Amino acid sequence: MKKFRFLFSMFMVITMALSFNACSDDDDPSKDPDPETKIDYHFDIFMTVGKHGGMNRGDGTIVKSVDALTANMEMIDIKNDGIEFRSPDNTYSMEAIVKGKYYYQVPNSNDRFTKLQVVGNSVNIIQEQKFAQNTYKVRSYTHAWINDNTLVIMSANGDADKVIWTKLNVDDMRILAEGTLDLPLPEGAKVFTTSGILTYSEGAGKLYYFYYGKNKTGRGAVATSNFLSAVINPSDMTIESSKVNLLASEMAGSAYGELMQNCVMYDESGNLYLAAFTDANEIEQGHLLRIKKGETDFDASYEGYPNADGKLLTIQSLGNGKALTYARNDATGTDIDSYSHYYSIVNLNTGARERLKYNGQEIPYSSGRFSQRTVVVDGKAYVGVNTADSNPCIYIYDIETGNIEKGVEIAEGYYFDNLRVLKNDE
Amino acid sequence: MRFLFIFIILNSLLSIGLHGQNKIFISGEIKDEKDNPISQALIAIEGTAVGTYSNDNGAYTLELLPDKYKIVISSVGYKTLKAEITIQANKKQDFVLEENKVTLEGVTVYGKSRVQQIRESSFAVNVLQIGESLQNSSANLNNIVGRTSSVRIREEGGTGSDFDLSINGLSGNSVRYFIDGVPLSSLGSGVSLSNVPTNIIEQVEIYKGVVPAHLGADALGGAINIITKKNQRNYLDASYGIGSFHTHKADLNAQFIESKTGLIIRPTISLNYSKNDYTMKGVEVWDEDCRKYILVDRKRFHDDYSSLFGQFEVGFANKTWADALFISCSYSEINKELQTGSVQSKVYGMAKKESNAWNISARYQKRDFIIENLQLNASLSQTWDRSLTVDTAYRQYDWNGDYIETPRNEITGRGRSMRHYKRPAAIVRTNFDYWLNERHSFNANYLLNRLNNERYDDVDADFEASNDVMAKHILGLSYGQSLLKRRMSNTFFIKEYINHLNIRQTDIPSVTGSKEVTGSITQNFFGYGISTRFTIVDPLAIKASYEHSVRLPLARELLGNGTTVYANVALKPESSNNINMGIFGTWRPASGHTFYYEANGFLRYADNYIQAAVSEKEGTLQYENVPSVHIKGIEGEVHYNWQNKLQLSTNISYQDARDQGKYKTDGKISATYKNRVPNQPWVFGNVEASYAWRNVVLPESKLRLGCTYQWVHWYFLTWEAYGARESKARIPTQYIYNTNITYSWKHGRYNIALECANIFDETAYDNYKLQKPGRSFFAKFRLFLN
Repeated sequence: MKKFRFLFSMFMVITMALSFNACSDDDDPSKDPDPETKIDYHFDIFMTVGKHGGMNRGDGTIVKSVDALTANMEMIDIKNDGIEFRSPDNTYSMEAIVKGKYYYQVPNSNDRFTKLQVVGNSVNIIQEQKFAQNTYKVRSYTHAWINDNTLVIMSANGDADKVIWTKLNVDDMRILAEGTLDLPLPEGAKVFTTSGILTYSEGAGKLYYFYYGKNKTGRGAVATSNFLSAVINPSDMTIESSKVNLLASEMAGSAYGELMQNCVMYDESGNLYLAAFTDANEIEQGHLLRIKKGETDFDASYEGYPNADGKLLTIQSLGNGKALTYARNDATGTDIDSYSHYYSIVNLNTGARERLKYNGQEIPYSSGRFSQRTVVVDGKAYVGVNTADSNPCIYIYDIETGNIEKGVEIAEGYYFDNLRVLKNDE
Repeated sequence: MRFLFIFIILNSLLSIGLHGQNKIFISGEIKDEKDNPISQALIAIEGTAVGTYSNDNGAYTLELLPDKYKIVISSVGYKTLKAEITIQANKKQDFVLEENKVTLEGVTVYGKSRVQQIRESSFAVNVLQIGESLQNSSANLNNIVGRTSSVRIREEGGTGSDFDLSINGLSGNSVRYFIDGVPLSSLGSGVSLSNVPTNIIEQVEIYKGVVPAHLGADALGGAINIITKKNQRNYLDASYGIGSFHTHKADLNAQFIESKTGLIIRPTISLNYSKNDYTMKGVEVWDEDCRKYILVDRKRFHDDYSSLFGQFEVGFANKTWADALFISCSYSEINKELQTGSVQSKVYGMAKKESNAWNISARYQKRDFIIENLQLNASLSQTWDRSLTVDTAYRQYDWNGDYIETPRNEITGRGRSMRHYKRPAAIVRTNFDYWLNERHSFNANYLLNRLNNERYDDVDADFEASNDVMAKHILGLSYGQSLLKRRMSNTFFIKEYINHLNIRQTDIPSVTGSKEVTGSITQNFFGYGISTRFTIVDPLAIKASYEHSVRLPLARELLGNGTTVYANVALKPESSNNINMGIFGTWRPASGHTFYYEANGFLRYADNYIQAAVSEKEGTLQYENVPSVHIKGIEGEVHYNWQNKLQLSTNISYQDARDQGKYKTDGKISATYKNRVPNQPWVFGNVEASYAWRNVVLPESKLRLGCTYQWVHWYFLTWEAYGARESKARIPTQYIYNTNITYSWKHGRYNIALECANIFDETAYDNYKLQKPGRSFFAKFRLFLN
């Protein structure tokens, strides 16, 4: 029986390899990483079975760690492989903070902060910290790194009329300080948005908090104004300024920060960029806004993503004045799994953008509104797609040359929602 | 299919003979020479398979056609009595049995109890007689029903905890509950199998997949019908029990018949209380010194449960103008503290739920109603049902019972909430039974269930109050045949489901669909089925049944809950094609030895499952129709009885539920397609044994020793094929042993029962990491006067 299974498996592998040769025609050995170059990172691919993993929808999140995403790698599959993102006593959310070798998050138990690591087919809990005063809900908070060791967590409280914060030393996960922002509700608002977006500008040495108010909690609530930006002194968490922006109605990721999708980035000059949108022309029209280094307000003259055809979902800096964006063409569909999402390379200086192309052809639309399938590492952007007519796979974009090659394929049948890069253990 | 079905019925109608004969009843009591009632005496018609057993009070009822009969009455320890009786109308006839001092060898036992008759009907049905041994025990209906084949009950904790009952793999709202044919919800939403007093129950019928039309159920997976006692003499049944985890149970149930007028008064009261402070093994608590969570054993500290059920029923029976006319008033109240959320790591210390319900109802039963052979069963019921969930504490508890003050509530992590539901419900049931002759009968059933769904919140100012109206009309018609000298019986039925909604919420029409269906809307759906039984030889019969069943959406599914659940008024009903096929028989190899066996195979093709889906907006749900599951399985059970002394039974069930969602939401093939559905028990079984000794220490006494064993094979929490197998979360195998000893004397007047559940203190859970109680003890005293 085992022999038969082995032969059958081999047959399947060969058949698949032949049938998907379009994804493998670039497996030029010369493009393999230089064996002399020590790769000190790996990729964690988050896949779910039966349902999407975003929004903490189930127990089915499986993480598969791989060393590379190049075309010569075996097709990524989680059949009897990968690790369920849980420990015996807790379930972890796909929405997590990633830095260095570790994940940080509030797990499903809603009672602690957890620092953990995925190694092979195991989840290792590195350190936990029970909530002391402020409590947070899984996937409903925003965060910022003040430095490599200091993490700030922030979210609205239960009544959503105040914003609470906690500072953690991630070395030992001890709570350094916590409290409540002295931040009034926007005029006419009864509640804050759940998490808002928090980010730390190294250049300015300040925390920026993007938020808005709503007229009520629950379903049918509407924003009372365009979103606001508050500048916070990171040492004592005092509010230095807060003002309504005039350029866009809402920032991306208002309910779950950047735990899933990146909507804030910085360029080499330290300028801050924020993905946002406005309801206009019957679409959610995306905007890429900028706050120049050291300033507290958005640059009214800047639009990094002009004439958007839909919502701008994620942004990541590629350096050299370029950014990788994931956006939606609203006319093509606005459902979570509409094939209407696409990647572009944006020139941050001019706002010019170009759809990501492979072999001269635009990569077709992907499905997956709640996904972050891109990472930038080692001069390359790894871009995961889920197009209608082929298996999900990774494209590898060389930032310097602009070349793009096709990478590893991902087995069909799952929801491929997240791609992350983490440092290896020493 | 529908036309084929109608054709079959019409064709059958054409074959009906025209010999109308009226069914009548003979009833009475079986006593010994000292006027003590004899229970479990067999009353049978010689030369036929018709018969019944006397109940705990010695009472019996037989349904016959007018004729001359030779009746045989037998009971272990008594001489068999034979009597010739001619009956032309309803008749009351008592019998006195003489004690047999000699060996019982050679006593011929034949005939069938009512339980056995239903079990051997054409439907796939389990029937449980709630005899004295069960009434003497502390077991609630959940425990009793959960030991039958094909039924699996998954409890979240101890006494009064939430549970999910599945029949052949379909669970939750797929299963409907009735009491005497009326929806159990008429007694209040808090009344369930876990707290219905067992001493008012005669038997429980568990219909698997195919549900008779007379129940008027929009049940997808089956139905449970509780049949209450219909004793015909005065009695008082009172009991009190005390057990581990500060558990107390008290029941009082009585009947007084005013001799002059025949007025019957039946008071019932039932109280349950438990602190449920059992030990949770290996739960996490934070140790600040070593700065990590450590695993410890801790007692539950916020899981008090109390329930009160009271009912007062008055009326008349066996009058010329009514076989039964009763008016009743009942009140139920449930108070429940909440200890955990959906996982044991979410610990609550203040949240609680309360519910109460008033009910007033009337029921009327009449044979030969207007015309001969027509029986009417009618009932009216109005219930005022309220429930409240209190989540106002801004605290976060741990398993030490300690808490921190937090900026959010316990359950939802939002603001304070005192959420009220008021659901006044009116239920009307009308059932006509007509026997054309001994071979052909008809049944027409109409059930109206009208529900208001009013919601408001005392402290959450943003909660939008609403008051929606739902009315379900369920019409059922069935035709029954008894052919080939009763060796074959067939039932054909059709059901019409009419769902009327009055949607008064109008918010977010693009999401809820309320723009299209605001105001009144009426939808019709059609169901149908057939069941057949054929006796090949006496110990071997086959049965098969089929139903295209429909379940209408519930209020919450259609109308949302006002905060976290959006309405979806465009929801379609769930539907399923249910097929059962089995063999069964009773074999009596020698005098005093009885084997009953049953083996069934079943298929369930359920579609348009109603399932909660997360919507894009923060933290909200909406129910939607999804492709669902196909379930196939087999089950078997065997009972052995030796002279009512030794009783052995065992059953095992296997079910294989496969996901039928071929495509993911992105339109591509889903990895779960045709995979086994996770987090569902798929093979489980039970073994029971008991032995009874008579006249131990005291005369007229009975000592009974019993034990049960429950086994559930482990199963994966998530899809089994994905993720490294060794690392996947599992719900481990359960091996639970229980034992009990009961001593009754004065012919069951006084009863003491001692029980030990989960003898080996196994850590058991039905839902991932939601521990059930460990070893527990219970003692109960029951007094039965008649």
